[in-house]
Amino acid sequence: MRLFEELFENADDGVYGVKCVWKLGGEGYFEGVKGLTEFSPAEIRIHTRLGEVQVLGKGLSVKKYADGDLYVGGRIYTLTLATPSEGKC
Amino acid sequence: MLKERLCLTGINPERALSRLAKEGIPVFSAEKTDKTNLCFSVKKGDVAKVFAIYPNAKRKGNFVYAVRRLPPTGWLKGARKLKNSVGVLVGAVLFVAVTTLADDWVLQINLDAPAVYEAQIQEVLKRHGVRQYALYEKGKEDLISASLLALDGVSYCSVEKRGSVLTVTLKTNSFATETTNEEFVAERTGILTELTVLRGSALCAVGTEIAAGTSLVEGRIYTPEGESQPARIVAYAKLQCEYACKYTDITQEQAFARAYLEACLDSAQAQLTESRIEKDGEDYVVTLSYVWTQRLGI
Repeated sequence: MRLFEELFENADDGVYGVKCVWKLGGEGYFEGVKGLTEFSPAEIRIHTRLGEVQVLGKGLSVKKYADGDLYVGGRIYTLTLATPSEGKC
Repeated sequence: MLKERLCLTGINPERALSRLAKEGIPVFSAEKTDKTNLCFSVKKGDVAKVFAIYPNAKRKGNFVYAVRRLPPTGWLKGARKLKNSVGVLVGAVLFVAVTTLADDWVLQINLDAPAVYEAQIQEVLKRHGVRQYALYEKGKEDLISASLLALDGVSYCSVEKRGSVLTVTLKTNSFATETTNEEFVAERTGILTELTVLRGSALCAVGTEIAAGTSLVEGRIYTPEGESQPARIVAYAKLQCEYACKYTDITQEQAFARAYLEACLDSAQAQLTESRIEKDGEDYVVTLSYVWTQRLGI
């Protein structure tokens, strides 16, 4: 994760603290998670400081969730970030 | 790190996950089995905290989150069963330990030997550090056999350890071997075929059947006047002897070899003249005819 620390060292406050590492078509690791609003094998909705992250995929599970870090197992196909003011991206 | 599997039931159970994470309880392997049930694992030490947050209370008409323990699976299931059967586990461990260690001990000593030799056998065993209910040093069988064969009259000896039982087999030479300078004694039982007396007085006639231990020549010389005076015996005798024995659970060759050794026919004094082996059921009857020569002073 050292690469990401360097990348985000000078990032804005809005970005720093919420990170995501996603293995395409596979599992994902999220930092800065405040809570889960939806959880099913096909969809997980993650509540963060920036907004809500919608994770769509197949066979989704929570491998580990502690101290704001979330490790999602299964196959993630789509990640969508919806910020309250700027809309989806 | 041991974990326990729990199942949380309630509406939007994923919100409970958030609550647990906020309380600093790490959650592992969470899966939603249906709309209202969510199964997850927590560290064993955190289980009490989970039940403290969700104590399974039911309010009037409202259904709050209910948490229950799920039964262990995999190796944990077997481990828990073993934990509840401590007696079985301890018994199994003790059994393995005892059977493994007993092999190194002597718990019983069996003697297959004439009673007169028992004390001497015990003395030899004691000298080699072999005692009942004591540790046994492997590889001592040959040394003990050699010590026992050195005893007077012993013609065959075997020392065998099977498990924790030590068996000592001893066979003696049933024939007298000692001759003194005053007497010329038959060492074997048989028919006296030849007796040459160079000094002394013959006590037996050729052709008679002689038992082992019978004096053949006396260490005295008799004058025609009837007087006698001591004399150092110089004599020579030959006996036609026969040795027969029945053997079980061995082959014909082994039976012959054993009879040969038991009759001490490997001695220079013996000359085998005839051998017969007859089968009696599963047993072998070995009959050996030989000439036994003994001398004194020659």
